[in-house]
This record gives sequence, structure tokens and C-alpha cells, in this order.
Amino acid sequence: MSSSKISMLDLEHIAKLARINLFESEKITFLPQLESVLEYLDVLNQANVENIEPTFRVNDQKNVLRSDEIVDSFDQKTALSTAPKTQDGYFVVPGTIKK
Amino acid sequence: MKITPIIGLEVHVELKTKSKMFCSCSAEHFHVDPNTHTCPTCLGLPGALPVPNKTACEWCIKLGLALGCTPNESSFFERKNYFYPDLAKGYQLTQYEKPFVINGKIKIGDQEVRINRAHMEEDTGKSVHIKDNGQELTLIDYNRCGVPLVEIVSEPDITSAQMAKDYLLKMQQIIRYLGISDADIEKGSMRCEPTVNLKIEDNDQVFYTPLVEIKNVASLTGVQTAIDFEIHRQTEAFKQTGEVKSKTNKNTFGWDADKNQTFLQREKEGSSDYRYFPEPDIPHIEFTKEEIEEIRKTIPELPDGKITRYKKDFSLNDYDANLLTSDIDFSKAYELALGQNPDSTFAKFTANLFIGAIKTHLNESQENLNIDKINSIFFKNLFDAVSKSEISSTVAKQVTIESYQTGKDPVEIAKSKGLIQVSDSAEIEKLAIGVISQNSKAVEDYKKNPASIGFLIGKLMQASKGSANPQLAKEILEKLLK
Repeated sequence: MSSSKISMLDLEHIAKLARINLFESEKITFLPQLESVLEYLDVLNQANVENIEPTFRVNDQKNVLRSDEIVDSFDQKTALSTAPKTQDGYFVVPGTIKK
Repeated sequence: MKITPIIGLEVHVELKTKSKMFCSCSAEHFHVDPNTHTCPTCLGLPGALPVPNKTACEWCIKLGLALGCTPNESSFFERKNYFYPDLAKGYQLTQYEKPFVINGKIKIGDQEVRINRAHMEEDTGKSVHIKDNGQELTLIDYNRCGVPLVEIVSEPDITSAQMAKDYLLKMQQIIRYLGISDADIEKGSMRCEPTVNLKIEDNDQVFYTPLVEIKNVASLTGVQTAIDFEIHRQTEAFKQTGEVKSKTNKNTFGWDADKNQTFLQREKEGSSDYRYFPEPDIPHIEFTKEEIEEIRKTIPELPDGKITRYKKDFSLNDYDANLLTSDIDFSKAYELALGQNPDSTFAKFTANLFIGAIKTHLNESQENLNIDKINSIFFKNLFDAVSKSEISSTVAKQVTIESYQTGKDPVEIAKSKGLIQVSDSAEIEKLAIGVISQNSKAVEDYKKNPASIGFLIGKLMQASKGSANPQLAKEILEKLLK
């Protein structure tokens, strides 16, 4: 992104992806804040990266794998212990299918 | 107006490893109490570190090699970010830029479907939707969350619903041959998402209709019906609106198996919306050339190769070769029954028993094949007995099933049941003389009309309680009546 200007539509799209509902007043507050963050990061765009392979990692570690063996899991009670709402051994969340 | 469907398939296959993809929880989730196979990693708790399952990575490469793919020298996992409660950590670990394997192909009849890639990822949890006091709720079970999943992406080389079905069957067969997954569509260990659009040629103009990805197809018939429905729907939509494909109008449709129709499910998030980035907690994975060759060695002879060999070495026809190789265990049992260096007559004889007796028996009884019940010597004995006309081919089928069930020698079974054909001329002659003396009317008839000998043969067979060799009986009667 060469320009950090983002539109209100971009902001709304990002909010939607993050599953955040924003009031109009919040959008007006956040838009310039988000812009200034992006502007700050824009400094990265000044670096010339032509012919430079992307760096995915900063160390040479590779192949950290485990063998296919089972280790005891949480019991159901522990697994559910931090859930705000449970039922019959399940986590309960608001309905995800809109009818 | 000429319409050509353009169909690509994404196939997800759950690997049957013992443990999950990035943690050591059991990967078993079918008929298991909810949330009993979870840990900080698959529940997405803060600070948990994923460590890939080596066997799963090797199986993904194995499948790729079986599909003629090339392994990437270096692969890595990436985070695909989206918020949905069946994936607690807010992203799915998958491969995007560097999948384990790329660029393969699969043969469907005379046609070829190119495989774009096969990559490794993790499954999500299971959701159960309920209504509680008028409120819609979703119950989540994370036992399936983190189970190893391979996604195989085809190029859009499929041109009909039937071809899509054939592709899935072939894929399922190869996966089962490799022994890396049950690939059961009804149970969800193999899932398929077709992407469909149309190429429409009209008066020198070419149009492409918008892409539609179809979700929730849960059976082979469903895949076929859904694709056919979508081809029809897009044809009609194009006639009405003339809308063509663009970068932004790809949609996700759900498949309603009750109404037999697709419906608009959601505007799909574009790949940029997933904000893929390399998983920082998992170092790159590199398999050496030697390791890849070791994996290649674990690939058994695949169906196409087997069919060619059966046709060439055993002179079997296409139909028999296909039936015998449809399932790897069945073909293994067949080859076990043949023993070393069988000649083609014995191979054909045994093929008939496998298809005509054993397969029929398994289908009727709904049993699974038990290879331990196959004894090469028994088939050889039976073959010899039939070659010497001691046992008829009908009896051979009957005693094969009984031998399979009881573990007894089929020839002994035939003997104990009096099913051995009498091919002793002296004994048959004795019976024939008796039949001739008791049926003087039929003998006269025969002298006028030789075709009526059937009646006398019938009488003789009756007298022998069905054990006489009918061909020999006929010859002896004819000789005596000359």
C-alpha cells in the first residue's frame, strides 16, 4: 500500500472481518487513528526490496516435528472450565446460522 | 448457443493418524463424548505451541506423489485468519504459498484432470445448532478441531457432473489404496466443494458466468445433483441477466439436499480478507530427496497399474480387472488366492469365483472381507477338481462360499455333501442301463427324435442324485442307444 489513506468502507470491512460492531461515532474516531497507524508503517514502503527474497524466519530452525503418538487430553470438565456457557459437554455460543 | 461447464473440485480428506495435526490429542472424533479430546493447543488457549505431526506430513506427500505431484523443496504453514466459533484460535493453520506438493494429475477414463496442489491443514470443530426458549444457539465440540486434513485442489478441467463423480470415486480409491484415510463421504472423512461456472459461446462471442462454490454436499449423488442444478441455474441466470464473471462476484452457495437446490449462502471472503501470513511458531519443513524416495517406496501398486497388469498377465477383461481392483483388500485377497506365477486359466477361474461367489456373498451379508480366510491351496484344489470335471462350476461357486465361511477345503465340502460329479463311465453305464430299461416309451421317442434325449439324461441325473457328469451321461446314453 503506497498510500495509507483508507476509506470508511475499508474501515467497515475490517470491522466486519473482526466481527466488531462499531457505532457511527466510533467509526469517526477510529478512522484517523487507523490511518495514522498505517502512515507510521508506511516507512517500510520506502525500503528498496527489489531482488530480495522474503525472510520468513530469523533463525535456521527447521523440521520441528513430533511423532504420531497420543498423549492424554484434558478431561471434559477441565476443557469446559473457562467457558462462559456450556450444555451437555458442549461449549455454547450464540447461533451461527441465521434463518 | 454452446454451453461448456467448467468445474473444479476441492476435496478435503481427514487423515486417519492416531493423533491430531498440531497436538497429541487423539484424532478420534466419531461417536466420542464431546470435548474429551482437547488440550491448550486445539482449544486455542494463549501460549500454546503447535508442533506438526510427522506422519500426517508424510502422508500428505505420499498422496501427492501418488497423484503425480512434485514436492516443494521447502514448505511452511500459514495462518488463515477468520472468526468463527468452530475454530477457537481465530485462524486455521494451513499452507498457502508453499504447499507440500504441487502439479499432479489424475486419469478419468480417457481424460485427464490436473491437480493444482495438495496441502496440509487442520479440521475445525463440529457445530450443533439448537433452539433454546426461542433463542438460536450453537453447541461446539472441539474433538475434531485440529484433526489432520489434506486439501486437494483440482484445476477446472472437469466438464460434467458425471465426470466430477468419477473423479471423486477415483480419488477415494487411490486414498484408500494408500491407507491414509477412510475417505468416507457419508461420514464426513472426505468432503467435496465443487466450483462451477459456464463457458457460453454465442455468435462468435464467448462469455463466462460468475463462479459459484457449492458447500454442504454430503454424498456422491449430492455432488452430481448439485452440479447439474447449478449448471441449469447459471444457464437460466445468464439468459435473464447476462451477468458475467468478474474478480468480485464469486459466491458461495449452499446445497439443500431436501429441496434439491442451491441457495446463496454468503458473500465469500476474498483470499486477501483471510490475511494469510506465515505461522511464526512452526519452523519450515524440508524433506530431503532421500526421504521423499523413502515415502515413494511406501506407495502400493495403484489401481491403474493393477488393471493393466491383470489384463496383460492374466488375460482378464476390462470388466473383471476393474471389479477385482475396486478395493485394495479385495485385490490383495485375489492375488493371495492365485499364489505364485498363476497361469491365465487359473487366474480367470479364480477371478470368476471372487466376483461370482465371494463378492456376491460379501454384498449379501454386508460383511467385510477377511483376507485370513483366503487359502491359495483351496483354490488350486478346486481348480484341479473342476478341470477334471469332478466338480461343476455351479457347485464350485457354492463350495467357495462355504469354504470361505468355514475354512474347510472346498473339495472336501463337495465330497461330504455328495456334490462330486461321477465321471466313472462304468458307474454311469450301470445307471444308464437301468434308465433305458425303465423308460421304453422315452427310448422309442428318442429313436424317432434324437433331440428328446434330454428326458433320459434327466432321469439318469435323478438316479445319480445329481452327481453324474451330464456330458458323460449323454455320451453313454447315446452309445447304448445306437
